[in-house]
Amino acid sequence: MKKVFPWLVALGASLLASCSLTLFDYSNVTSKHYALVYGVTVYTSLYGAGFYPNLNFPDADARGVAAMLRAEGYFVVLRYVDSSGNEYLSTSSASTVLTGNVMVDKTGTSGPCKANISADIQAYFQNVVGPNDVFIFYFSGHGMQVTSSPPVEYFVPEGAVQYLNSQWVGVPSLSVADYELGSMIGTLSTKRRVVILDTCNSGGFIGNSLEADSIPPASLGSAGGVSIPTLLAALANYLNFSSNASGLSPYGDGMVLSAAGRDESCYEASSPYNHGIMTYFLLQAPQSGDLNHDGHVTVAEAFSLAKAGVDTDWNGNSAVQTAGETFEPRISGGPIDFVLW
Amino acid sequence: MIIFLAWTTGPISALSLGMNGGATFQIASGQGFGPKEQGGGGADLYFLVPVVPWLRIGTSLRLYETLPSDTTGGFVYRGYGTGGLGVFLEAEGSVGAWAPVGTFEAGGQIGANADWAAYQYTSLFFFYPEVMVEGFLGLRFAGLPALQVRLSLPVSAQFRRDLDYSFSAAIGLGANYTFGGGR
Repeated sequence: MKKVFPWLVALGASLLASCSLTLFDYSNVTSKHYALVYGVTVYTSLYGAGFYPNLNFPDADARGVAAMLRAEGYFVVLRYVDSSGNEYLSTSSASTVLTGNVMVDKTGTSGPCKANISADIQAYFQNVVGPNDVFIFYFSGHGMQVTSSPPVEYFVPEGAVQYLNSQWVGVPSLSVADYELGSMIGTLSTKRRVVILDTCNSGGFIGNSLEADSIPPASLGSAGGVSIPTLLAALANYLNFSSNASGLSPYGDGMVLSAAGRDESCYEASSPYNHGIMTYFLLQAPQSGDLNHDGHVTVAEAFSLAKAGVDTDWNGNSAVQTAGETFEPRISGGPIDFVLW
Repeated sequence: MIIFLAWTTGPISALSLGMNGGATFQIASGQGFGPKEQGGGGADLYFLVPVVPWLRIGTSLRLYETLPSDTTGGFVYRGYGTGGLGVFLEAEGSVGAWAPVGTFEAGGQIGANADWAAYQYTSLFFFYPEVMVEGFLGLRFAGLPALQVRLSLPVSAQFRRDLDYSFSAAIGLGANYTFGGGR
């Protein structure tokens, strides 16, 4: 919704500032910043990168996000499979290598598989992350939807793709569903959990049960807007509100930034992107993400930057439209936004 | 709505149309985070129909913007834009007159709003009801009694299901015009 009567809003803000009405002082609250970052480019060693089911750029996504967050002071654990099928683990802070920063192992036991994701949360963050700290979970790779009722969405880690009935499929039991990720990160003592997924169907991880999104689950690039059905859905959600959301609840589990809608695919591309499209624009957040010029970048600001990039640059491309490869990033609702840096 | 229509069909000649703009100050708390203040502002368009000489019933269309809170403590209460519909009762009386200027009036409102809002940077819409009480001071100019200029101080509570509480206060300035002459 666009700003209405900007001068009145400015007057309200000015009154707030000029009267020094800072009634609540949180200057003594300090946050440390942690991130767990994954990327899977190669799912099978039978083919090279870029040949299905393998992808091209998730390792570049993960390395890029890890570098961005480290530069912003995050302690980052990075695990990825590169375009040659090598697995890497890097556990370093912004300036200090805490352990051997590279481990190569093609056996599949050291990469970003489901077991390691759960183990990483326990090993690196369980006893470290405090109640006021920020924790970011990032994954780039495949995502999928099991069309049960209701549908369940997964992201597909290493080892979760198999060749069955003449096609490559994601195996749900080896993949990570929204509720499973919720359980994993729910063990952390902080509520400031941010999940960023550059995968297909990742919008299914968003568990809004109060908000109605004017962009449908498979928007294919539609910008959405105010409509009577959306307003009625919002009213119905208010009347039937349950904090037990399907997916990660923004009212307790965490805030999700997803590349695509629940019923939607997202894409990666070579030059000039050389990344997943959403991640490409997300990586510009340190330079361009402070949308309100307050000196900080929040999750919503980073989302807005990435969404604007996808909308104007990618979805606005006629070749992309012709190929039917438009998509729309999504974000959780809830009244709280977190400061990323 | 039926009651409102019934009211309006009778004393239509005394219908008042007004507009008000204001700056808001809001305090919200929830989700295990402490309270913070948020600034904002907006405007509303309203209609008033007399019930008795000192009491009127009104309905309003509101458009408001609530800015994000500050970033201290590493968290932010998100900003949002709101559009809403309201109904209210208004009582008003004369408190004095100064012939060269006009008549001074004072009164109050009590009402409820149905609000739809959208979070800043998103396409996410949500609903909440709101109750409001307001005190105001008005001035009807001697040469134009149909026009009232009004300074208002509304206070409201938003019943958000994702917040422990949310209150706001505002200062508003507006005017209304009564068709068929002054009151």
